[in-house]
Amino acid sequence: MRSLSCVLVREGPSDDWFLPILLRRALENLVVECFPACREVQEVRSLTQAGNQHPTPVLQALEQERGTFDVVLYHHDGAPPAKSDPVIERMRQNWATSDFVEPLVAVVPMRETEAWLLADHVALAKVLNVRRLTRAPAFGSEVESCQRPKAVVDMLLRDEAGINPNKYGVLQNFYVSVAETTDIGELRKVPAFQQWWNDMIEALEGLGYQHG
Amino acid sequence: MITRIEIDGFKSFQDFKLDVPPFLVLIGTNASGKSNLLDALNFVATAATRGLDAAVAEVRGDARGLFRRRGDGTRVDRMSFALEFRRWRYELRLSWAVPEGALEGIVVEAQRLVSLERRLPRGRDAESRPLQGVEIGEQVIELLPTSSAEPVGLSGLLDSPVLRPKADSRIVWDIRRELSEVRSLHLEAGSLRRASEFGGPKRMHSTGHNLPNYLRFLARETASENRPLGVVAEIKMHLVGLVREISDFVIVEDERRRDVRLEFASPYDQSLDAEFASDGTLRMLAILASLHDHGTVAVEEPENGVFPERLRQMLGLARGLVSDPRESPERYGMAEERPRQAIFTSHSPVVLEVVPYENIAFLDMTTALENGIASRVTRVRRLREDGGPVRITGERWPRITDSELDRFRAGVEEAV
Ligand SMILES: Nc1ncnc2c1ncn2[C@@H]1O[C@H](COP(=O)(O)OP(=O)(O)OP(=O)(O)O)[C@@H](O)[C@H]1O
Ligand SMILES: [Mg+2]
Repeated sequence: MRSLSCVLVREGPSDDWFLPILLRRALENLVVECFPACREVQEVRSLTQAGNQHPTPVLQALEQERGTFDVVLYHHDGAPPAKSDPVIERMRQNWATSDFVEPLVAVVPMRETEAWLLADHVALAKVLNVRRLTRAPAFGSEVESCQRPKAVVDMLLRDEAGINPNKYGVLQNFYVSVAETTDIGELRKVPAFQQWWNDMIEALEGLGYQHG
Repeated sequence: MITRIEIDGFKSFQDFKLDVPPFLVLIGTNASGKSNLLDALNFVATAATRGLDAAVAEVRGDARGLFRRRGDGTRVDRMSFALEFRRWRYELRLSWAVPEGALEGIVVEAQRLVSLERRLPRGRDAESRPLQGVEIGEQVIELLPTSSAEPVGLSGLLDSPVLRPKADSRIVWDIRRELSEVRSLHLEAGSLRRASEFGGPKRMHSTGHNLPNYLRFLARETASENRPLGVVAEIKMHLVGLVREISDFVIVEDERRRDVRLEFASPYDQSLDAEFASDGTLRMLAILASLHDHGTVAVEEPENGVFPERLRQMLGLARGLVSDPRESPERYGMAEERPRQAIFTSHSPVVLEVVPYENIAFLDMTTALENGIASRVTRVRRLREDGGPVRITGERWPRITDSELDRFRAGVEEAV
């Protein structure tokens, strides 16, 4: 296995602003660390028409991509678990009984993925072009304790950098910039992210990617 | 006619390989390597015909900057290129050297021509054919002693004064001519508007400067008794069809001012100096002129300043003007050895509607991992034909699916 290609089934369009970038960058690190024989990580392609709640459109969208990917990344927000767990489980079941042979790896933040964007404060300060964050929100492993990460993002933009988050394109380009800058090592301190990391390693082992 | 390009170590290319049909449109995201590909083509063509210094001057960037930079900031020290023509493959390997007692610079490590006659059919061996090892019985023309580390600056790399059999000289000469007919257009409004000088260069500059003399040259080269303007008559006809507000143009040779200018006529206006013609008119004229010349022309973003419906027509025209390899060349009185080829770069979704998928290549970036270092490099993929296979033997990546093309078509992104 010399190359890795993943497709992403995500919740909504705003996930496309950062998840494919973040996951691709994480996979680059993961492959270098664990599967050095692999020589390429391709762009993570988001399947926008897949929806993500119901398995039927997801499988339909993946059918169109058959043969182009090694792994399916299935993203679903983790909160509240009572609602989220059955949806993820149903998707897993359907995938397992489909005739696809590729592994499906869930990407499940504790509440919302936006929290992952807050993990690296150095990256945030760099993207906002401020010397340091004056009112630092939770970070590292604590970041997922943040109840409303989107509100924190708004606050960061408005109060730390004086940028109006409601203006067209501000949030999107902020997300892209943070995803390109965040240190993957910092992100791995977040338990939900590390969980995905471990699942990913297992999936790649199952596909025959070689360690060392 | 160039049939294949291979690049390694130049700008964003690592082990890059692309089969090139007579008409090819390169599409893809920003900063994906479309212009780099044209740079590579220009670089090799210029190096082979006018030398390395001229080649560096011809493309964007300085000599060292042309070597691929890895993700950790270090640069490779070697660039290899291979250009295939119908029967021969030109291979060139360059390296960065800091020789003692001489100035640092690009040096030629090896170059040669390899015959393609005995090759297996394309596809089966496309990935595995090594740049080095020669198959037994393959004919090779060595162009420089491989040990030579002398910087070659002034004359073209193909001009090396080695004595060789007459038949070989002829082949080298043919390749040299093909390469001398590679040109690229990166048109600029200001340059297009300028007059040419009497006795000035006969070729058009990549910015479009010298268009009047170029048209004069094309006319002179193709004129006949009954058709004094030669191919320029066709160019006129197509320009009128594309622009509509223009009904004709004349090339005015002004003996007193010693310059050559274009004057346009519209159905309501007798003469309109080039300075007052619209940007799109001049751009389309320059592209049309170049498409009616021999050899390989590369055009950057022909859609700039062109009404979408007319772009559609222009793409159609370009397709029709290039040489169809399946057609006998005599049919239209075209001499066989002087075919036309066009390579466009484009961001226009119109391309997907009018250009057959086999004539489109999609470029984007992928992450290459070498010794733990991640670098972004250009990859090229073909489009999946409707209902066609995703995987094709000899192709490194799967074909592009509709979901990805949708991004190109409309820049799909639902509002949040
Ligand atoms: N020496 C080099 N090493 C590595 N990458 C390089 C090198 N030189 C240029 N690049 C990369 O090539 C990219 C530019 O590519 P190019 O100009 O071909 O883009 P393009 O596809 O024409 O984009 P556009 O559609 O915006 O014109 C830059 O982002 C740069 O990172
Ligand atoms: Mg470009």
